[in-house]
Amino acid sequence: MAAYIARRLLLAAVTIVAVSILSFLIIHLPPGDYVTSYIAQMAAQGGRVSAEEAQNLRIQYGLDQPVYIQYLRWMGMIVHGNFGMAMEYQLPVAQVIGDRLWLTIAVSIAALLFTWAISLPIGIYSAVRQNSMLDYVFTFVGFIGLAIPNFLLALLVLYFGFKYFNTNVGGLFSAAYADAPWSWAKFQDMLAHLPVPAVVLGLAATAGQIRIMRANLLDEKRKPYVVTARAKGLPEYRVILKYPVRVALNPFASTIGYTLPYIVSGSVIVSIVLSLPTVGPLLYSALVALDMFLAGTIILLLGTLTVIGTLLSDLLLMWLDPRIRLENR
Amino acid sequence: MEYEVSDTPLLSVRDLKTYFFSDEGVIKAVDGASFEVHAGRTLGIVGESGCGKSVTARSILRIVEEPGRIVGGEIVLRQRASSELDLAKLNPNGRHIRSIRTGVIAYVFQEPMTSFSPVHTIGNQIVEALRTHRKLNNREAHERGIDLLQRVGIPRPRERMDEFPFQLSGGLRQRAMIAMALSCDPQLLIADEPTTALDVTTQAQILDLLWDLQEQNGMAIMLITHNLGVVAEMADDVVVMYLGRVVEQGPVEDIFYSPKHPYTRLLLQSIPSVHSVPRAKLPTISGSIPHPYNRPQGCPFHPRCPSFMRGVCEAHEPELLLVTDHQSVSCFLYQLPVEEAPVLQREVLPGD
Amino acid sequence: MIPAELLTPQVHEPEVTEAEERISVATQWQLMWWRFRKHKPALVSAVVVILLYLTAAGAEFLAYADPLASDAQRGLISPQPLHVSLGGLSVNGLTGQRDPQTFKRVYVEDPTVNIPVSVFAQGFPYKLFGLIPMDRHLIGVSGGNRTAETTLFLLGTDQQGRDQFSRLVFATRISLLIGLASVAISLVLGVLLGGLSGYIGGTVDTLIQRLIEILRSIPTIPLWMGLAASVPKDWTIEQVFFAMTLIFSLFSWTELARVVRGRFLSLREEDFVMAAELVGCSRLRIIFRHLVPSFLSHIIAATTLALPAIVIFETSLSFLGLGMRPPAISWGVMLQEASNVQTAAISPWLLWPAVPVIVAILAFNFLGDGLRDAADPYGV
Repeated sequence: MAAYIARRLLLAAVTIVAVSILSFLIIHLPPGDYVTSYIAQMAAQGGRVSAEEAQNLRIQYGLDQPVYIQYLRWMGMIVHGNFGMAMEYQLPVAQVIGDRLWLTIAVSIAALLFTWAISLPIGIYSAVRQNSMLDYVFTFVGFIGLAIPNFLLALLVLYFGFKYFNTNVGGLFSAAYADAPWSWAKFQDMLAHLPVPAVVLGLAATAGQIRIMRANLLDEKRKPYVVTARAKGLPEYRVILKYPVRVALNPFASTIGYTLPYIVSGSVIVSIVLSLPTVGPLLYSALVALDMFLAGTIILLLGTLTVIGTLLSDLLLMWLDPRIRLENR
Repeated sequence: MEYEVSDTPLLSVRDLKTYFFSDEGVIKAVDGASFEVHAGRTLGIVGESGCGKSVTARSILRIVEEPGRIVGGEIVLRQRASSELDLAKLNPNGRHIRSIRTGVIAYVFQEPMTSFSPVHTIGNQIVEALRTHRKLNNREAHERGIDLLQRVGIPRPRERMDEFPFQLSGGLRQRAMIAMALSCDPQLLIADEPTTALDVTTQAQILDLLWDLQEQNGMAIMLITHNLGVVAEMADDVVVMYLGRVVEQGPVEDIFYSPKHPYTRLLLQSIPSVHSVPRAKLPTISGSIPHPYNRPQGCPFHPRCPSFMRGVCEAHEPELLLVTDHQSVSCFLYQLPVEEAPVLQREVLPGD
Repeated sequence: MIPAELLTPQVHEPEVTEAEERISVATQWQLMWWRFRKHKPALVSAVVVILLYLTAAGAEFLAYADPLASDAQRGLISPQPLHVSLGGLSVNGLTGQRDPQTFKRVYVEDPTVNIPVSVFAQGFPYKLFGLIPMDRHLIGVSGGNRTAETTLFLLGTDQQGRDQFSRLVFATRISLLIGLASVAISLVLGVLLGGLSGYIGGTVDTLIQRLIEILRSIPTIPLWMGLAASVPKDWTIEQVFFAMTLIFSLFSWTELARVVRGRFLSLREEDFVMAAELVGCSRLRIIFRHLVPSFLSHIIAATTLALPAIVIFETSLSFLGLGMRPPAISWGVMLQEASNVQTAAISPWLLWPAVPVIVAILAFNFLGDGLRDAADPYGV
């Protein structure tokens, strides 16, 4: 078991490093560097930066160093909690991001919970009552969820909300709480607004999860140990729920590994469409403005978040499957 | 065990028919099987793979998998002298049959590795069997479980209760399976190829175990196997099945020393013997088992039978009839087809 | 007493039915086709996919208006439904009025005016498949004078007065083409790396496996957005297209590699491979004659299943303005016009591009499912 945990930790660490390298690349991909953009910005404001000043700035920010040194310096800064300056806002990146990261986590977890809460019972039902009317209905709805990209779903939800209910279903807070400090009431307000983004985000993943649970359960249901359970005289519902469902839960739980990145990923676009105060719209505006420090940092944080979440899910999987716990394959 | 005059059988199967219905057609897995199981005695059911032995056994407990179901026949259980119950008529999900499963009739499966849940401990699964049929709390059931594991010869039973199936060896797993089956003192133990998945030494140990347990409990055993050696050693009575039908049955000595049905004879011939001539070809049964959708007409064995009688065997179906005091055969070598029974001539009287 | 001569041994071979005979001599591809045929949604989807690609190929023919021809005067005209009658196809005409408040020309449907729509009508000139100069289109309004009042707008126009229907037809081309191109690159990468991983095994396998795991656990959209935003604004459509393709392929090869690796691993252990080796087949022969047919079908299935993801992501990024950019036309680019809810509420026809997106995704998914089921005709 210890070996398993160690391996997972190592992999997570390597992945985070990979993400940081990718983020760093992205930061430096557009032509020109921070100083160039700074000069352009100054020029737009009517100021001027002399060549000497520019060179000094470069040395100050270490932009004259080779790439890998810059990377290490950047990582050093990050470890100390210094994420650099958001050019557009002229504020530290950490401050600009502020609450948004936590809200991204909240929305992602809500979507994940929604996905699980819906797909588990439906998946079980579809496998046990195969080819029943409800099974077909669920399959159909599942395909709809699969076929509509989540931003499109968000758009359609907004459209119908606006056109037929004359409400704006976007946003995470009512106007009253939007800028207010955190309180219990604000938290409740957020909870009230979470369903729409959670459903929009989670629907496509739900469809996939239902199919996985259904397929796995159908396979497991035919296995000998289910017959044994029946031969012990257990009622049918116990036979199904205690045994094949429990075993089918393993591959189901291991899907968090790629569901979480998918949801975090999707939340970026969905929150742009639904105007949620999460990291998504911030990333978008940062990219449009080519504020690369902000953008890169957000990408790094999102990636790290996902990796940690995946790590936690791996640990959960380990707890679920005694075969892994006891190091037997 | 000495053969006694037959008392009322614990279980009587009469003309059992279990069919599987699929898109491609109907598979008649069991097509008219009849036999009896007596308390304190072991019935061996032999036949090649696919002859319907397992389906017969599962039909008894109504655990035949979809798309199979019982379409005819009776399975009469006599738990007590005065109570008769046709299991074939029970609701397969109902309380009644569920109380019988493991409570009265227990089942030991062929593959102990896949027949135990991989994610629950042995103890959990045994306790569950106990608490389903007995009023015990967790601790009491757990203690009883340890007892059971001890009885079947598993060393360090207390630790084993908390282990998972994959942590035990094949032989120990099968013993644990037997322990679970016996947990509620059943009157009949159905053992479906209990030793096929084990090596020969373990096989002998398991058979010894079953024998001892039968002596202690006086329970009936229905032993399903394709291994004639196991049958010779364990069974008191033998039923030979082919393509879903019983072709011969009787006490084990009669079957082995005077087999009547051509199939039984060929089966016995095909057992490699210590006394056979070195380098001689092993005798086999010619042909192969027909495709389940392609059952032969008439007697199911006729395409491979050395005693095939044209005009008789493929045109009519033989019945299982007593040919000696205790032995029955289903073969036209010992009976005449129904249509050809002599018709009594009636005197033709004037006026008809 | 039974006569002795009747007791002579007779051996009867069971008769093989005709159906069994057919199955046992059918080739692998025939078996796969029969299996595929059973999957009704997959069959329908195959037809849909073919139609989509035909649309993309013959876009110029199907469209009746130049997709780039903009005319601010014709902004946001609502769709004109086609009327089918015994006399042929027609639409109601439009009357132009000057809106008293905005002084803009507004077009309103006029049921009294009937404009015949003909098949194979003359329209803007083009080259079919880039080769044959033509000016006939599937449908259109014939006649030289094509003012707004006498023209066809099947799905209305967008804010810049461009005909939506024609744009939609052209958008199919780019949206589907990016899919094909990305999948092609992913295929090469996936088969190469997956094959190496599965066939060589050992450290190479472990390394590639870890790489795939790492790539899979990174949220892709933020990365894509970042990469896409870095594409210089002055690049041409073709260059942007190429960049987009690369960006998508960078991550989608992992799924294909996993499938290939899985197949190689299981095939390596198969008895028939060992048998071939024992007979003396060269490695190359084993790979091409024995291994490839076994996993080719799985690759086809996996490839088809990879397409919907690419469609989704191209559409998403273009919707945000970070993917394909005007004047390129793709479904995502068109949907960007509807991103403002108020605009969409007034002109709901702007949401029409959602339909081919959904249809394409569904079709590819069903088709892929059907292919995956048929890929293993010997399995359950």
